[in-house]
Amino acid sequence: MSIQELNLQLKNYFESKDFTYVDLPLVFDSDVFYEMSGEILRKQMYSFYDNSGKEKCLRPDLTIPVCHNYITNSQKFKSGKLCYSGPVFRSSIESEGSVELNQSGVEIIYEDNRNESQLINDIEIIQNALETLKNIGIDKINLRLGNLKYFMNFISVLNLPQRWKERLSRHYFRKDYFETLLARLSRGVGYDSQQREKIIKEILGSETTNSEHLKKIIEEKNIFKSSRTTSEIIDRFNQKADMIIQKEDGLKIVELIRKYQKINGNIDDYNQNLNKFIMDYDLNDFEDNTETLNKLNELCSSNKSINEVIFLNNFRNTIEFYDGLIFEIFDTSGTYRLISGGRYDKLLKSLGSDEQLCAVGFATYNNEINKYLESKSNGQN
Amino acid sequence: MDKIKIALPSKGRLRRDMETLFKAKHISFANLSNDRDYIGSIEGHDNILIYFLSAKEITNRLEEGSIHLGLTGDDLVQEKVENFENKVSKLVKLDFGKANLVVAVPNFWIDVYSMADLEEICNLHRLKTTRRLRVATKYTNLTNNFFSQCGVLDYRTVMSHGSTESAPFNGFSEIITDITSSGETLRANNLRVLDDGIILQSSANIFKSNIAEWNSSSEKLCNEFIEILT
Repeated sequence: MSIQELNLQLKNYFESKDFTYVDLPLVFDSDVFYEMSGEILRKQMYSFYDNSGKEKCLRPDLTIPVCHNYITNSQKFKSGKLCYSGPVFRSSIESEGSVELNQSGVEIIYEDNRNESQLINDIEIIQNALETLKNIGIDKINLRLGNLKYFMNFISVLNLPQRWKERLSRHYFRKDYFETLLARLSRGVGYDSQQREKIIKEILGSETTNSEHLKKIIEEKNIFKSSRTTSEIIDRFNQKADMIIQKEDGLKIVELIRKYQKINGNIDDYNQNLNKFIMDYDLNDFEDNTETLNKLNELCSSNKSINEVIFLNNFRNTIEFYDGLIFEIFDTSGTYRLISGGRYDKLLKSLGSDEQLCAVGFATYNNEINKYLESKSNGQN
Repeated sequence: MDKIKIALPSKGRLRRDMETLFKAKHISFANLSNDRDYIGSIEGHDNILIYFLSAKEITNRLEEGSIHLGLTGDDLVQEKVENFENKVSKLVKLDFGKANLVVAVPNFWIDVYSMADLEEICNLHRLKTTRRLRVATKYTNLTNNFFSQCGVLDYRTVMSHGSTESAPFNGFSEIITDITSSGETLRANNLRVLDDGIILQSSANIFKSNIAEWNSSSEKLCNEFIEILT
């Protein structure tokens, strides 16, 4: 089957399942991808300047354009069940020199943000992904799962300043920078009173620590037309001194994060390993994710096409807008990545939606699927 | 016999430092009709053609391969030459033209000392105002790469072609990245370099263009030139 035939077959399949097809241009303003995608996708983009000097790019991804289209033309759509199919352009080693990767996918956009509804939609999207593969003759797969919300639950019980919790969650997907943050945390963070006094003396030439006095001094020095206000500066300066993490505590926290990230493995064993970790480290406030995982496990054990399910606490994706469930589907040998998907509840708001909309979706990797199907028909699998 | 083309700085501090070095190494120029000539050769080495160009022009010619060797700074090469690692090779690091490309913020931002602080305030500003903090710079590529390595994403660069240090005062940007050797100009403009805000430690160098046409004869002349210079 040619890639174009596969693109069309998947499009027709999604439409038969009541997903509305969204037809999208190939060229977009680069800005939206720079702002919403992660560093890895940024580096893979093909961008150029048009005659007006505006930076444009060949679409590197389809989720962002589909969501953007939905927000700007929501009256056009009967429901938030959308699909797409066609090429995206990335300089990637995956395609062995080809700049064109073909993807077909669905996005489910909805309003109900209750936990139960999230779980139902998470399960539905995985089921949809499995059925899609079945429809094109792939009936045995391996599933890899992860969930950024679990990581955030874990971080929330650590004895860390709020801004550090947010920082670690924000950079979860950037592996190298995340490591840099852990290295920084292991050296201790925050200003102690000595450092505070030193900074005030050196920079402001004063010995006061009173916020109102500081405000007055900075106000006098703020000759810039800066868009950061004096209060913002003082508040953050004070926050840095609110909670100091000494070096030895920083090291312990980093060790705990690393141990948490090593709890990976078969979904049957995951809960047991997680509970042991919680007990070992007295993380009593940790709101574990047993219920969600049990539901996912039920789905997986009842679905005959799933060969193996691995849950990874260190699951990372090159798409940085995912903020909850993330999953990838491979062939049983683990050679071909056939599908990836996940939840991205914050994306639509940051793309300009007035309403708080939730969303889950997945995309098929059609070049990989084709190669896998070819290898299967050649009897290699 | 083939000739080798070498470009040297035509003006400014770089030219003066280059002349001091050449004098110390007893290298004299020949075939110059006057001091302002843009082409000549090296005395005793008629096959070494010398072109006097601006440092920026030298960088462009190295990238294009129309000169074999050129004297210019790391900052220009790394900013202007895409995939510079493949296109040029550093042959000699010189002891002048030293300067750092740094990230500087208003001095009174007493809460901002590191790139991690900068990342956080950029993010907070974006969430609060939906606008991004602005970074004035002549070095957009080096700045974007460094900011990206440091996890800073919520900012935008504002191109500056001169007096970048005045951009925050004029309200054109909040942050700058700029070349500085002593930091004095920054301090005079109430700006402070972040503790881990050194993007690049730059100096003058003799670069070899890998794009230029090379053969055994030009390689020999290149070695001859490097030998008399070092």
